[in-house]
Amino acid sequence: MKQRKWRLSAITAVMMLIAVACGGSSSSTAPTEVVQLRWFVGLGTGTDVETQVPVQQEVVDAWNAANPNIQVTLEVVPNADAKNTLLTQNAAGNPPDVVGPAGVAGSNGFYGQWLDLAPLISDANYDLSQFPAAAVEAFAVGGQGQLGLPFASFPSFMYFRPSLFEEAGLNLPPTTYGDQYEMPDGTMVDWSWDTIREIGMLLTVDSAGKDATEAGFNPKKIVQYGYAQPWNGAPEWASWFTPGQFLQSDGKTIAAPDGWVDAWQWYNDAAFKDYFMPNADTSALEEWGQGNAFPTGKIAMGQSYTWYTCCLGDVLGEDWNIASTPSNNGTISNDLNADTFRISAGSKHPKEAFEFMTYLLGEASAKLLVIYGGMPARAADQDAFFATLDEKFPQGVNWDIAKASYANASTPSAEAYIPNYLKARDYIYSDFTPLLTKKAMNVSDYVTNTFIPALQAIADESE
Amino acid sequence: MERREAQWGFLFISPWIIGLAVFYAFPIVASLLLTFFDASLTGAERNFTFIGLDNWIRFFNDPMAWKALGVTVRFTLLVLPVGIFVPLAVALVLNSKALVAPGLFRVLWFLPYVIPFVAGIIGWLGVIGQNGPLNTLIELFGVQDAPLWTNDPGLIYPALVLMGIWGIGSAIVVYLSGLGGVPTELYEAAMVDGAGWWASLRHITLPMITPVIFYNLILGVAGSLQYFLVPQVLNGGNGSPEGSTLFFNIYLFKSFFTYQDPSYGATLAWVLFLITLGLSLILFGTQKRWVYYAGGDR
Repeated sequence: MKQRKWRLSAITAVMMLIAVACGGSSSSTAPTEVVQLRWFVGLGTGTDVETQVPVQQEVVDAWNAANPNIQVTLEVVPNADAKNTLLTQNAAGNPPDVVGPAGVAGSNGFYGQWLDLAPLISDANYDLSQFPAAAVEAFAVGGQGQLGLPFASFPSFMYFRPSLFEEAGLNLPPTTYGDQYEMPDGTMVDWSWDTIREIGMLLTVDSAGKDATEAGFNPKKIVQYGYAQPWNGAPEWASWFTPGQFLQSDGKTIAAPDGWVDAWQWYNDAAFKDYFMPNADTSALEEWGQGNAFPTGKIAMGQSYTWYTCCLGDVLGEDWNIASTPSNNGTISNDLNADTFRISAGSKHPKEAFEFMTYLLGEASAKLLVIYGGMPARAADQDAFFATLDEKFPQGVNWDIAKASYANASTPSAEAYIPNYLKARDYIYSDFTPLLTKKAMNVSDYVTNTFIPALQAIADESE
Repeated sequence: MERREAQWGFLFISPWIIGLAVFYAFPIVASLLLTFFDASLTGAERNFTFIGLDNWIRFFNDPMAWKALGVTVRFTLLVLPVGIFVPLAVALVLNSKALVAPGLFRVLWFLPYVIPFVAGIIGWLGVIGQNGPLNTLIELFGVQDAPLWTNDPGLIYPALVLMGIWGIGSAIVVYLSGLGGVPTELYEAAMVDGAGWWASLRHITLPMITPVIFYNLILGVAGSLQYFLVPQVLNGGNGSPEGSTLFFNIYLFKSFFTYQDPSYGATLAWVLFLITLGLSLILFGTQKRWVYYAGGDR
């Protein structure tokens, strides 16, 4: 009798469990299922807790309020840990749905782990004509599909300090692409990297007031340099001379693109032969900005991207402006950084993730672009964006240069994919330090005999 | 009763045993097992595949690993004699009765050791920098083009050794304790026999402190092979100049974390362990020939 009672109780309990379990999926009684999405921030910009995270949270809150069936959680991971965290999440089968903003380099380390957006774009009839075709094309990766859509662009150009030019009796750099530069003797020359060398030396001054072209100039007592290169690495430096990528069309062979060796030699000569650019040892000093020399106020020119406005400091005040990127052999090559959002290939809710992503690219973009410092890829939004920058930098920066830089964007990107990307990129950025550390370097020998064979070996490892 | 006591004993040491098992034994075994799997986190495929000895074979065919090993061996050959004999020489001077205020000098030599090493390295970078005091001194001797110590592959190792001398305080203390343990009657007997300072050093001091030298040698070999902190602080582990600071441990670390290849990183860690073990066993094998233990054979 007792045994029968227990059996009955057990059957009742099992039936209750079944009823509860089935009840959850009953469409007639339960509310519509809420999709939970995760937005992962950290691979690029977006991690500043004071200026960026609160705005991103506002954007998420606004979305959640308007979309009760698709709720988004913002996950911000410090940049230094973001790559490892995301790779681990992906490997564990727990990828976030939307990732970004992230640039080309930040995304290349996740080869094969992004969703091809083409079917979603097609299903949603998403209008791509709002973006420049070239910008859309830039995110179409061979063999993987349309991995992103244009969002923020960071064109590059020449930052310069007008007062140092005036002090040296030099004309200011041209502010329109194609314009020539008037040298002190009145001759008109192309605004080229050769010209940068010439006026860079005139703008480099030692403690006795002599410039780098004068006899008796002391390179050990330089108090002002004509040019400095803020951050970045050898591929970017070279791509401002001529576009290219290490990986050749066969997808296997690694080679130095045409013109890159000459470009790198230009930098080594600038630091150790012509002395108009600080070498690595000097750059590391506090008085020269520890790697970011232009804001010290003692540098006349420096080529960088739109995002560099983040880091100009207080010393320069309003005494800076921007000029055209110099040409090389008559051609301008403007390396372009581009950040966007992507969807993880392993996302369980790709359709909803795409919906949220288009919100970030559209309605929320005005707020986000300001905190990221990125130029809107959508041409219609660019004037409003630069108006906000004008409020911040009231000296009248010639932003037309930035807009025009887009037209000369170099393709392929300096950050283009290489097999075994994480190791290859680490090697490129680590092993190219001799450019600014080794006196009188024969760059051609180094590239041919050391650099390229080593990079090829790294790329071959991926096989 | 004994069994009960043993149970209590195990209970009391159980935190240590659990800690050893969880934080040492398990990671050691796991890392060894990891060497036989492909656990790379990059790429489209998310596999955790058994690949047998592939990672070990990859090591033998990896030029960067051999380059890193070469860097480590070259540096070890340079730093080891300095790390053994400089503190010994300093300890001998500090142990000398002729030295005035030996306590003060002992403190002064030991002081750098208590300063966090990272702070010490940053300080040294200022000293040996392009416009640092060392180059200023060199220029006083008429050298026009003072060297770039940390950016010249030919000078980086001397620079690293120079920084290493900063931390010899610990070895000096060990030597001093060894020197203090040498029976004074041996020196008195030698003096009676007419032995001078050099003869006493050669025939009494050095033989009597060979266990201490051996101890420092073992630690020095292991420490040099695991060299990591200085290059990591010096240049973020980028290997500059020209790969001359790509030490094996740096490459191992990068394989794990920068290249996201933990199984190959674990393989490199085991390679380093086996090399260290092998060298230690060789050194232990030689000790019968040159290490004197007053209490008898070890």
